[in-house]
Amino acid sequence: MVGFSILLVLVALALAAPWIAPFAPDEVDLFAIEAPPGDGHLLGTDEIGRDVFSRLIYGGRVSVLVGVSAALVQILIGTTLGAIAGYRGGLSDALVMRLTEVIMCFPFYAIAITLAAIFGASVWNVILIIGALHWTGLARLVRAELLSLRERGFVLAARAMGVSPIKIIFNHLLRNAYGPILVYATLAVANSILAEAALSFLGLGVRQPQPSWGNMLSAAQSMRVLTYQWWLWIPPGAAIVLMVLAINFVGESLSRALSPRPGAPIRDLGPDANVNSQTRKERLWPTRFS
Amino acid sequence: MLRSLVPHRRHRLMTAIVPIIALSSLLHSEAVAQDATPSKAEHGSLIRYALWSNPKGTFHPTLYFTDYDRAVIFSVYGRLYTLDEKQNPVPSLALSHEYSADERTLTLHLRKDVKWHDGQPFAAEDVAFTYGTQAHPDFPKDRPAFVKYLVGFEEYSAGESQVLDGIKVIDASTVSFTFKAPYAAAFAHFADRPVLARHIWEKVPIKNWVEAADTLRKPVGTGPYKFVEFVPDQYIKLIRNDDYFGGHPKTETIIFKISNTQTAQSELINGELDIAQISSWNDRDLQTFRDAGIRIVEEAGTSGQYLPFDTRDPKLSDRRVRQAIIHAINRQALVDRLLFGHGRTFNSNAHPDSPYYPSDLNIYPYNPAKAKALLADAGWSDSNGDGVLDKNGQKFTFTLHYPIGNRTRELSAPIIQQNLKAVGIEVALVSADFNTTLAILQDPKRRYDGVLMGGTFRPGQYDNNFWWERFNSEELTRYSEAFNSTVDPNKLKENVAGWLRGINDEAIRAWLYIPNEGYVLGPRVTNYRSHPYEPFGDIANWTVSK
Repeated sequence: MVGFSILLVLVALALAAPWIAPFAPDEVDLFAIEAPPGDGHLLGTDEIGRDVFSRLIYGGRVSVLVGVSAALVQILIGTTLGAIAGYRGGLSDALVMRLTEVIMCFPFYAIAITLAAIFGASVWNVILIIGALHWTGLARLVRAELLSLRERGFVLAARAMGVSPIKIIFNHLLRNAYGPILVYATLAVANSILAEAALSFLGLGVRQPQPSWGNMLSAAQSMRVLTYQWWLWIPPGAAIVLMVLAINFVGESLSRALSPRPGAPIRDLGPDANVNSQTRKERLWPTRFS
Repeated sequence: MLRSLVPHRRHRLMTAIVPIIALSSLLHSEAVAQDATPSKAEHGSLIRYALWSNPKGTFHPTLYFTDYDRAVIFSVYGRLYTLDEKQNPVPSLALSHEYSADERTLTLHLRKDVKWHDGQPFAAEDVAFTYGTQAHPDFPKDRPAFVKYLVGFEEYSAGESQVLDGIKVIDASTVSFTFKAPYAAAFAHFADRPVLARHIWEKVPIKNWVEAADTLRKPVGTGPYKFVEFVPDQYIKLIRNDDYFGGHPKTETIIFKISNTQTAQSELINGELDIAQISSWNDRDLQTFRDAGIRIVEEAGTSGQYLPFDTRDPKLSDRRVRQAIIHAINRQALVDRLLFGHGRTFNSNAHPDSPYYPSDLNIYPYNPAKAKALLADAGWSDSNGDGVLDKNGQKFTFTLHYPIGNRTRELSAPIIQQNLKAVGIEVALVSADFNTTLAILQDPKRRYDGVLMGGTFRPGQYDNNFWWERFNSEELTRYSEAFNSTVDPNKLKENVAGWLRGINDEAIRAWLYIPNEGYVLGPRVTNYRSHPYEPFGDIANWTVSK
C-alpha cells in the first residue's frame, strides 16, 4: 500500500509536469548558474541555470515512459515466444529455448552499451534495447506455465472440439497464466527504469537537453559536483530509488494477492474444475522474479 | 567516463577545411613557469604529461589526425621551421631560406649534421619525400593546400607525370619548392608537418601507409625525444635523444599518460601527474588546484567555436536573417557563464589577435530588438500571435545540430535555443556523435539549418573555401586571389582584411567564442614554456625537480 501510494504520487507528478513544474525543463537562466536550493528554485539550478526541480519532474515522464514501454516490449516478445514454446513443444520449444538461453548469456550492459553506440542514443532506442534484451525471463516463465496447463483436461477438451490453437492459447492458457505475467511485468518496469538510468548516466541513453533521471545523475561524474553540489545528483538518485522500491513493493503485493490460496476457486477450468490440492500447489509461483 | 569514450578530434579533420587566418602575433599569450628558487643543477628524470584520450597510434607527420598523436609526433620528429610566440617562422631543421626574383621559388638550406634516431643521416631527399608524397596519387588523406600550389601538382597527383616539378633536390642539404604563385603560407605548413624518414617509409607503398601499424607505431624522427613504447590506454614513453641538433634535452624521460579529465585533478594533487591541460574554467575547480599548490598558466585559445549556416536554405539565404541570428545570440554570456570569462568572442574567420584582423568589423552585439527588426525587414513576422515568426504561412523553425563530446559546446546548444526563441525562432536540437555531425557539413548535397562546430586557427594558412556554408561570392574570391599571389606583407594585410570584412558582413556563420587554453603544473615542475601554437615547442627545456 505504501509502495502503491508512492508510485501514484510519482506518476501523478510526472503526468502533471506541465502544471506543477515552476519552470520549463529547458529554460536557461544564465544569471543563476549552479545556484543552491532556495531563492525561487526549490532544488537549485544546474550548470546552465536550469531548474533542477522542474527537470526532475519532467525526467520522471521519461522514466515512466521508458519503464512502461520497455516492459510492454518484453511482454510482447516474451509472451509470444514463451507461448509458442510452451504450447507447441518439440522443435519449436527447443529452438525458442536455445535462443532464450543465448540471449540470457549476454551480459546485459556490455551488449546494451554496444547497441546504443551503434544505433545512437535516444529514448526509443533505449526502450527497444531494454525490451529486446530483457524478455527472456518472461518467455521461460510463460513456457513453464503453459507446459503444465496444456496437459489439463479443459485444454484437451478444447482441442478435441477443434478450437484453433490461437484461441486456446489466448482464451484458455494465457488467461490462466496472467497472474505471473502481471507480476513479472511490474518488476520489469522497475528493471527498465534502472537500466535506462544506467545507460543515460553513461551518455548512451536519453540525451541532454531532454531530462531523464539517469542523465541528470551523470552530473555526479564530476568531482566538483559530487563534493559541493549535492542538489544536482541527490534528487535524481533519490527519485530512482523511490520509484524502483515502490514498484517492487507493488509487484510483491500483487504477487501475494494473485497467488491462489488453498480453497480459492480456479477460474475457467471447465470440466476439470475439481482439481486436487496437489495440482493447486503446482500452480503456485515464486513470489519473486528477477 | 564519457569524455574518454569520445575523443576530441578537433585538429586535423576540421582544420583541413577551416578557412582561417591568424598570421602572427598572439601577444602576451606565452605561458612561462619558472621556480623562484635558484635553478638546480640536478633535474628530475621524468615528466608525466596527461593526454585526455588514447592516441590513434598514427605517429606519422603527414597522416596524423588527433591532438593526442600530434603530441607524440611533435616531440619525436623535427620540423624545418617552428613558430615563435608571434607566429613567425624560426629555422629548425632548415638553416635559412631565399626566394627567387619572382618570389615563386623558395629555396631552403638545411642542417648538415643531423641524424635520424636510427643513426642514418638526414638529407634533402627526406624533405622532398615528405612533401612530395602528399601530392602522390596514392596519398591516403586529403591533400593540403600547400601541395596544390606546387607547380606540376595536377599532372603528378593524377598520375600523368612521374615527377613533381614543384620540388627539386639541389644537393644533399638544399631543396627548392616552386609554386604557381607566391605562397606565403609555406612556412606554416612546414611548422605543421614534420619531416619523415625516407629510408623507412619508402619501403611501404604509399597507399598502404594508413595500415602500416608496425611502422606507424615505431616512429623514427630527428626530434628531441626518441620513441620507446606505446601501451594503448596507458601511456607513451619517450626517451631523450642525446644527439638532438637543438641541444641536449634536459629531462631524460617523458611519459604521456592517458588520463581523463575526471581523475586528472586528483592525480595532479597526489603527484602522479606533472602537467595537464585545463578542461574546466569553473572557479571551484581552479580553487581546488590552487589550494593544493598547483600552478595554473593561461594562454589565448587557438580554436574557435561557430555555427555555420546553410546559405542555400530559403530562410537563411537572406543575409539579414543570418545577421539577425548573430544579434540574437548572447555570445558574451556564453563566454562569461560557460567559460567563466576565460575566453573571448570573435567576428570573422580569423583569430582576433591576428595582425590582419580588421578593427572595424561589425561586432554584432547581443540585441534581440535589432534581431527582430532585421527579421521584420526580411518579411518575418508573428502574424498569428503564437510566438513564432512566420512568412507566407511558413513557421520559422531552425534545426540546430551539434556533436557530443565537448561539454561547453553541448551546453551552449540549449542557450542558443532559448536566445532564438526570444526573437521568435523555434529551434529543434539534434545531437549526434562528432563524425555524424561533421558529415552533415561535409556532404555538399545535404541541406541543414545550422551546426555547432569548432576548428583550430592555423597561423598563416587561409583558404577562400566556404563549402560548409555552401556559399560563393565573387568579391571574396577576388580578395583571396589577391592575397594568394603575393608574399608582400602590406598587400597581404590589405587583401586579407578586405576578405575578413566581407565574410563578417555576409554573416555566413555565427562566430561564437574562443576558449582560453590553460595548463596546470604540479609542484615538481621547475621549467615549463609553451605558447598557443607550439604546446611542445620547448619540450627539450622542460624540467622537474628531483
